[in-house]
Amino acid sequence: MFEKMKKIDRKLASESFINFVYRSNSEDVEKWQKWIKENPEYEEVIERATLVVNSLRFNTENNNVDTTSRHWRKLQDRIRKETYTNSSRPSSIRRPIYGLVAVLAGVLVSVVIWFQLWHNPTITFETDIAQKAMLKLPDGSEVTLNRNSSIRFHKSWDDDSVRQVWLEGEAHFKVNPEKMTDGKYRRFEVHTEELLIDVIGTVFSVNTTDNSYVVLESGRVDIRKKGEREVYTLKPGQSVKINTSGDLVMSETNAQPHISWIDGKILLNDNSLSEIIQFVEGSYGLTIQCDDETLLKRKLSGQIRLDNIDDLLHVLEKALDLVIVRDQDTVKILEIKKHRIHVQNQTTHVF
Amino acid sequence: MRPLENMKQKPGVTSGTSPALTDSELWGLFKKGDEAAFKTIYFKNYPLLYQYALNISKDEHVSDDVIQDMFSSLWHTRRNLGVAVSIKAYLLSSLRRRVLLKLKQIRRKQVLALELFTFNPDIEFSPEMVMIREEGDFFKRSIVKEALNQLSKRQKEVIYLRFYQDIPYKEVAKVMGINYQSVLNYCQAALQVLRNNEALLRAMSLDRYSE
Repeated sequence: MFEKMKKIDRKLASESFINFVYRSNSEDVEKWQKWIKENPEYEEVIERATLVVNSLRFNTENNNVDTTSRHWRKLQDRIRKETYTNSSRPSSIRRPIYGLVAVLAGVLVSVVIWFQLWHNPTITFETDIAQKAMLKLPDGSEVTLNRNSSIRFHKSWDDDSVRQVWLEGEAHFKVNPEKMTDGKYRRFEVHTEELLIDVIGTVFSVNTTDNSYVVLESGRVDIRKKGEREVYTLKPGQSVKINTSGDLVMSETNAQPHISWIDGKILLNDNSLSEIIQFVEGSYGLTIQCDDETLLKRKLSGQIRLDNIDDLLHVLEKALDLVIVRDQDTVKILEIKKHRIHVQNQTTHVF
Repeated sequence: MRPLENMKQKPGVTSGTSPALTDSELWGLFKKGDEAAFKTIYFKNYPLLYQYALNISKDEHVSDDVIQDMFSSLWHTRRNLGVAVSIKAYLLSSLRRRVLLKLKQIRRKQVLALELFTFNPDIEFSPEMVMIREEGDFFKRSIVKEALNQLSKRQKEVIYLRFYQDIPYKEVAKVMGINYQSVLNYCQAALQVLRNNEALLRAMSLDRYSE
């Protein structure tokens, strides 16, 4: 008898009984209905068990979406910051097994050093979606690598007559001039998928993501499209772009607005709102809606810090005299007067 | 900038990747750095995870902190993570460990070291958690709450995870770090205690017949 009760207890705690009470599985419902018919002596205990399982229905609907979204944004900001500050150090360092990792890294380093005696290996440096990196090239020249970009170069340039890097994505270069023993300057070359950029010592940006372009800040660079002979020489303030038909087009930067991301800022040089929108959408994964053509043509010059999206939107709003409403990942840009009342009625974040 | 494009498409709350993805597909995408998958995981699980953290720690700040810590470290270490068959169970067990650790750190100053080794979560059921068809019946909810809170710590946690968090016994065992048979034993014992609680049965049968 005792054994039998024990068995019943187990049965009444099974997933199948719970399914029967909650009517969540028709097979279990049929199975139990049949069992109850065949075992009428357990009617009372089944009744009690049903009541108990029914009392275990809980209310989990009391969580509101706003809180979740607010915390999600906080989390995004935090991850972005952490990724930026930790960009030079891999996250695995902080794991408890870091002792082991360190030993392995040590072994790896010694293997690499040994290997170097025989080889001049290529170094590839990559940044992911929320990461920027500053790195020094073997000659001391500086590269700032933007998000989602990669750069490749030889570990040592001692034996190379030309300093060469291969770039995908976007980067900003500060190249030191270097004289060789014969009195000539050693060349510095940037290879991209489409372009070959030839430099002596200068400051310039290269972007290969959408339409390739090169912007020169100081010095002089020669640019050639791969597979073609014509060489374009850029002077400071000028830029070169590949247009939709694949040809190189040169223009003055002053006339051609340029958005830069160096030092965590957007450098605006008479850029229109639509250009700014395009940039912000790409960098933050936001959807920005603005239907008003005249607003899109408003222009802005100056610098805006990039590390906080809300601050950035706030500056845009004040500077361009707009109303910007952000609801999670959707941003609406409106004209200031017409929509004032409509905007105030929304519960979303109004600046 | 390819992964970001996914996020741009659907700004909605539970959006991101398509809902038809299985847990392991979603997890795989997340491990590859897909922000939309990460977002989907976050929005799907945040409310219940928050409740769990709150139910163990009984402290909103601790709950907020621990969940933020957990998700941010998930993102940073995503490449080193294993395969998750049930994301919810994985997150619950990770969260449980983190909350208990945090509570230990907080209480280390106050409690004898010996006590720390027997440190188990003590979930307290509240009337608000209890769902009864008659909406405003606070009295009945209180009876259910009372009945549940009389269970042992372990029994409460098993009941909480199986019924409130709604995960199968097998995953309850993983979250609590005990074996499957023990989970069943705790649950059996708990249900048996509840079946003998006349006040609970009366309240529940009234609830049912008043439909």
